Amino acid sequence: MFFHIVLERNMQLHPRHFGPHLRDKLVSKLIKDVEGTCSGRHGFVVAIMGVEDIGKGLIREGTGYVTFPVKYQCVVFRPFKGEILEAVVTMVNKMGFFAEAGLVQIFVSNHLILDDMKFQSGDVPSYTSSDGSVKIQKESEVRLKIIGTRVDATEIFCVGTIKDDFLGDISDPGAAV
Amino acid sequence: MSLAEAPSPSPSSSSGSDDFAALLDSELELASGADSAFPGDPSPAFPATEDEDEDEDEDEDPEEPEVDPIEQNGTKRRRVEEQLQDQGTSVRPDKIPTGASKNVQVEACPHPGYFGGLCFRCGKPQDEENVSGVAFGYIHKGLRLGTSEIDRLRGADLKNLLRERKLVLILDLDHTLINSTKLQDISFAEKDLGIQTAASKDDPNRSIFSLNSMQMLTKLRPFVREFLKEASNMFEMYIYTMGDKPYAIEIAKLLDPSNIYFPSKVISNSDCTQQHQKGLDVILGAESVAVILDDTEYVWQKHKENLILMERYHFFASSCRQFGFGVRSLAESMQDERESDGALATVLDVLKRIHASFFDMAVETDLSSRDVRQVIKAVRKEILQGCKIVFSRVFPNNTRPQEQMFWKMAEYLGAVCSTDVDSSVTHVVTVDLGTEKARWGVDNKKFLVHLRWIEAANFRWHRQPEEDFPVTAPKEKSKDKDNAVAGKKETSKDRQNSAAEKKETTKDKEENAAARQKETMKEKEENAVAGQKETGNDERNVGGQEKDDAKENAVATSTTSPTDS
Repeated sequence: MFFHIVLERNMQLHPRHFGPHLRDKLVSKLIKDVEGTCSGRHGFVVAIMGVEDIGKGLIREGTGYVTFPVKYQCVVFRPFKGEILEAVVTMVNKMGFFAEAGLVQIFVSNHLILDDMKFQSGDVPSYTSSDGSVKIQKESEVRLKIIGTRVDATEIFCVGTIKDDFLGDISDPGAAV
Repeated sequence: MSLAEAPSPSPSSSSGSDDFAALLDSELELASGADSAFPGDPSPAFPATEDEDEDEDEDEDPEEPEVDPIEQNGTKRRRVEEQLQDQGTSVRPDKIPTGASKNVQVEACPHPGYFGGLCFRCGKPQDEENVSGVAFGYIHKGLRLGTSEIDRLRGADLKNLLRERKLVLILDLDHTLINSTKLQDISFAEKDLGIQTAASKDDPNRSIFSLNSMQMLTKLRPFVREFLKEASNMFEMYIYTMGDKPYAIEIAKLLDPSNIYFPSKVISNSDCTQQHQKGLDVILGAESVAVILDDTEYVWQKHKENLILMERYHFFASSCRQFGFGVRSLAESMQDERESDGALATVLDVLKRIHASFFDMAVETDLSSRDVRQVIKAVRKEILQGCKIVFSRVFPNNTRPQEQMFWKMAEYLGAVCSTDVDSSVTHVVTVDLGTEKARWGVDNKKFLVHLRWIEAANFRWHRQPEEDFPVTAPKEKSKDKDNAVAGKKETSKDRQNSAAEKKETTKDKEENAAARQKETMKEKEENAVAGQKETGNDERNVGGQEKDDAKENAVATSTTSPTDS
């Protein structure tokens, strides 16, 4: 789920950047450092919306670097257990399929896929329902429910299921499994 | 939002806050301290709200003191706060929200496997101290399967394979299908011959490729593309190399540009469960149908019976140097293995035989109870069937002949070995014409063959003509060795070296190496006594190449499993 929150960070700046464009340099450094990173508490920082406040800079002892506390607004993405997401399938194999929702990797094991859907190997491996109406293969969109998340230093791993109502392949809007 | 009205399966919702508080107390006392999992009643309210925006959770807090005026309020609030702070971790209450997901039985979850540390059936995090199962990083990062799940998958896979009439083939890369060298290791001779420019040509069917990101050149073994195409009809194939992952993926892309042979089946050294050993535990296929094609035996200690040893492919000079051969490499001599009956073509024939023999419908046993290892053994035993062999001056006197490598090899090939001569003996194997047994053999018109004849049979999976492996008189030993080069197994030499039966000198080894690599070894053949036929020599050369010289070399020289980059 996406959130719009205010975060704070201490940015260190080298004196060579001091000058009329100090603020811009600070903001661009912030963007470079923070966008795309992941933290356990907040999830992935997707984009920085704006800088709310830049505090007074503090010169560090021993070096000429100056530390600015920066408050910024950003959009973060964090999956939660029980959340329902749409994701794009990246790999299908006999153990289940891997899907991606933005930067989050989700694995749906075949234990949590309807028994009706069988794995078909071949050039394009897929899970196909017995009547052939539903087919989950690479690049198809699925709606899944997250049943567990775990945050690593740089990545978030999720495990999902499509064994509930209204989950599964979404080739047309409102399609139910 | 009133906790009393929370959608919960337990019967507390009807009573007032006092009863509820008492229930909460009892539940909390039962709950373990560290884990902030709230069992029973209070949890439905919390998961419902936890899963929402963090801000909303703050609203829940003020309600807590109302419900429980006693001091345990403090602990509860602390716990709630802990829980809120723990949003970032994966410690979650066991309770799954009610409704349709009742079919996920948390209590009975056997944890078949883990993805990123979470059980992929129930979502619970993996127990840190108890790390079981096998990691399958080559399929996807973070994937780990438990043993029971692996067995289940193997069983299901076996059924599918047998239905499609396919077996499993595991291929090694270096010196089996390709030969790689670092750009900096190219010899001057090779540079002069313009090998590097050949690699940068655009022709997609070329055999030399350069891997720019790793500063290496790779040469595909002749016939490899056809080999893969034909083998894919009979086998489900895996690549298993001791090189590292980026290298393995690059080579897989070269061998399989459309990703149909090895999708998610490229295993590299980071996937091995034991250091310096390859194992079938990371393969999701049953052992009873797995055939391994590798040039090194050492790395497959646990699965020697599934292994078909391949002759090493030395195209580049650096590869020869690595194994201690001082001869000119194939590249330097502008030669290459023949496609029509080179190592890969021979092995393909053997694989076809094994496949046909396994799926032979005339045999009574059920397909699922057949074992490809038995088939390999049986096919091997046909090679020298009907031969009775006596060894002469091959084994040192203080050893038991039956335990010697060549004796065992001959027996695996289907021959009968004995220590004494009698009328049923068909072959006398020796390196020296002057022995008593050798003379007896000549007198009785038995086949007198060099030791390498056995090795040739081992590598070529076919009984070689005995005339190609004559034993010459001692004074012409060096010449004989040169002839041997034409098709001599280096391995035998290496083996002997490693077994400390130094019958041959390094010079011979080199000559053999050279001989192996050449197809038209006119210059190498010092055809003296035996009157080698050109083709015979070539065959032997190829045969020699197919022998696992490397194996012995490995023991004699350096690494057993050549890892490039």
